[in-house]
Amino acid sequence: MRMTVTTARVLAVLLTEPEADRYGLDLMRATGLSSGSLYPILHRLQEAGWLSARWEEIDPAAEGRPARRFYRLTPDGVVQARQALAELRTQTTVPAATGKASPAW
Amino acid sequence: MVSRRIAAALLHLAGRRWPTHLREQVHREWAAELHVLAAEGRPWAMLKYAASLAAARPVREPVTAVARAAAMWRALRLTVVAPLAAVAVFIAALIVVTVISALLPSATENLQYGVMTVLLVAGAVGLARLGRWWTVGGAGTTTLVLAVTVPGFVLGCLQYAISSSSSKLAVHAPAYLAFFGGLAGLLYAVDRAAAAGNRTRAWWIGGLGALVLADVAVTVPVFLASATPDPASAPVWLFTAFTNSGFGLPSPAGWEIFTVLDATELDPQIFLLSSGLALGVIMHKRAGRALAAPGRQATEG
Repeated sequence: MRMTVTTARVLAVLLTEPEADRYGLDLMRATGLSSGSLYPILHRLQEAGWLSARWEEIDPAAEGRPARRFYRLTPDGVVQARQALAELRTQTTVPAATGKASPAW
Repeated sequence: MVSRRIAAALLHLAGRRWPTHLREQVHREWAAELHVLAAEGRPWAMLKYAASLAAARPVREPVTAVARAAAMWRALRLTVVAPLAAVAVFIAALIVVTVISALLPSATENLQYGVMTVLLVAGAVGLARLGRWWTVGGAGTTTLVLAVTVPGFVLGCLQYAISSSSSKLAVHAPAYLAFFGGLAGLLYAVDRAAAAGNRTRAWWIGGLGALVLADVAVTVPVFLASATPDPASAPVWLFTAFTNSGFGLPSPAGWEIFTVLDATELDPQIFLLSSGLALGVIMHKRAGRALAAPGRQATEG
């Protein structure tokens, strides 16, 4: 799974409530990503088996709107996502400065 | 609402950039979200949502070397092998007519032309069947239209460029341009009719449309000939070219029939065989898609 900053943002949002069903517009608001960026990421995560998708179970006539598509991390996806984000954090941590800083002059 | 229509058109465009087996699903998902934005009275959000998807990089699935080679073969089969198959059908019909002439010295020219035409009509039907099997699943209408019209145009012009003088090419190329250009437009109409579920109507549109196009196209080299038959008989020239007959009409008769046959050369036969193949490919493109994507679904929860 290729980890990009945008993918990490989506995973981070999904990990805040791993048991919750999230839909496209909801994820767009939460991540700040555009639809053109979000849906390909969701597709990649599904292909990798990290994300499952299902159609909302509603009566469209009663609700007055079509059923949405819900996304949720799979149990394996939760583990993998946590691990990937932890690795990303490690890789992007600024090393602590060693020794006493002194002016160059 | 105009913005909703624009957004819907953009979503349609965006959906075409996704793998075939996912298109219906993603389009349904996006349409549901668009509906919510529309209900909230947010036209700009709708347009932004749809435009972003339409402008996004297409989703490509990993393709193996075997799959890539198979796709190349399917394209080659349709654009090169199928036109060569049409040439083979023509040569086979010519051989049959030659054999009949040798076995039956009494066979008149009209009979030879009649047999040749019957064989070519059968060949066109056979090529339509071939088009059904060889259509490229997952290809768009424009791609398929180009795949079945450009090779015919090139092959038709090439035979004059290679075997004859450039003056013949100048006479016949406009006829080929008229026929294959018109055929391209006709195929879109056939596709729309087939997509609407009326396949019988689509076949009639295709068959009659191709006949009219060929009827118009064959008049071009005849009108450009040094001596032109009576223009009033122009609608009959295609049938004269196929049968060597004036059908007892005042025109074409005598030298006019000869002029029509001489000027049109192999054009009517090429138009007939190309039409069969092209209609077979377009009429069955959805079946080809279904075969190419056997109901694959994304991971369901």
